[in-house]
Amino acid sequence: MKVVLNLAIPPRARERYALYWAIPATLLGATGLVFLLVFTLRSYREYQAAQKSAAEQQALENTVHTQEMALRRQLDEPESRRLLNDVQFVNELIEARQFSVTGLAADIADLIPDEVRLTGLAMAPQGQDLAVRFVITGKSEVAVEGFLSDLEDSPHFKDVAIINQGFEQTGTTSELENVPCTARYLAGRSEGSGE
Amino acid sequence: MNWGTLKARLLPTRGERTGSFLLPSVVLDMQPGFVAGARLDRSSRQVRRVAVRELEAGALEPLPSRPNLAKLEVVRRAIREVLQAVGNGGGRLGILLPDPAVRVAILRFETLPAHRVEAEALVRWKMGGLLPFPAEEARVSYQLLAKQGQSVELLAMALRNSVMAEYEAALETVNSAPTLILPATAALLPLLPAGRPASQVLVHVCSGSVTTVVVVGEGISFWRNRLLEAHTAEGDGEVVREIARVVATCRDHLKSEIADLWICVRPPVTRPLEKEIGEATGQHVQILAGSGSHATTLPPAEKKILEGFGMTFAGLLENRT
Repeated sequence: MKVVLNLAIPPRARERYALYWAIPATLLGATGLVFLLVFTLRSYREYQAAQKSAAEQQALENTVHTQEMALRRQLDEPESRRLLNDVQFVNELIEARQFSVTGLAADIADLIPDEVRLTGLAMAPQGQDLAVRFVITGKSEVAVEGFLSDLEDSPHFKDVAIINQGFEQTGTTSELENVPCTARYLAGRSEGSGE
Repeated sequence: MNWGTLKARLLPTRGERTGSFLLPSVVLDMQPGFVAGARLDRSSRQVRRVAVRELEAGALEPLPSRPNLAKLEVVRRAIREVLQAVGNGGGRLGILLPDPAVRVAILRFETLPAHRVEAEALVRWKMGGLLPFPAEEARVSYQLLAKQGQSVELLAMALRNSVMAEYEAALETVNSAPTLILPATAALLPLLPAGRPASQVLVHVCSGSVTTVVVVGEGISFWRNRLLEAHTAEGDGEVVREIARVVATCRDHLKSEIADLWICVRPPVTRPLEKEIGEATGQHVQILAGSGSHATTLPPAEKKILEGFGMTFAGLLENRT
């Protein structure tokens, strides 16, 4: 009688072919391992380069900071402070040197007609501006009024006012003499402000 | 398909499904009184080496649901010595278990599912009523005996996993799991002459138990195993009475006349039982022996061992599936 019984449990395919799969699985694993090693090595090198660059930047920053501190210390020294004060003083002087008598004379000369003559000119600071006092002599009232009108229209002057006005007869023609007037001189500011 | 089903398909649990017969290259026959081993040449169907070591009484006590190896180290030593003698070959290993450790039954169904898993579940369920342990803990194997109309007849075997684990644990020098596990009597069945329509009775007396199988044609109609009170085959006539009982059952219940009565006694007895059994049953008793063609290359000493202990090995070689 043939017997086909068997109480043994046959190994599963996974167990039966484990050895056959072992070699490709090992190769695959080894390949993966090599890939990981190469990737890790490359990443490590990049990390080292980045770290080196960061260290260099840090060193540079430290150097600059040190230089800044040295400069600050240097600036805090009395000699440097004195120099700073001098520079500030010079800068203030330069800032203050916006008024020029030559410029004022040129501006007035542009306004004075032929029939009017400037007989007196005085100036005094008034805040940031300069108060100018003219004394003019004109051949006629029309000429004086024309000058004053031009003066008021001029962008260099403001707040024009006549202090006193009187006519003096000299010879056959009536001549307006010694008309004092004041105005504020806007030296160097009138062009920028558009006045 | 849910996750559980997918997981069950991809990662099946340690299989409960048994395989089909495979002729191993090395076989260990583990019985209460001895451990025999043989190296088989599968291509030429020859026994190349055979060895046997006796086991002290109580070292192996075959039971279907309790621990079998009372003295594990003794059994291990015997296995080691046998394997050293025959060589473990590094190939397939087969184990023949004591008959009492395996439950065997003839099952009849009206129909059997075509799907193997479903059929196995049905066989397991039916075997459950015959087992002294939960059916879920058994590994089951079955063989179709006959299929006629509305009747399917199976020869089914069940072995408790924990019992088998014990035997596997004793195989310390073997790396792979056994590829063949059978009760020893099943290995003797191929030695019965084939093509006889009348009933044949096989009596296997082995180390304190007697197994009786009634074979009709290519089928089995009766299988019974009984532990003997006396551990020797000579005993006090217990073996003779048991065989007489089986023969009577065969006549009365199976309505079958016995043509041949074959007996295999292991270890060999000093006082032959054939005459006593013949007188008790009224049958001509024949000693089960192989053709001898499987032992042509064995030295005389090992040939004698084969005749006395290794008929199961000859039966495996004779089993041409």
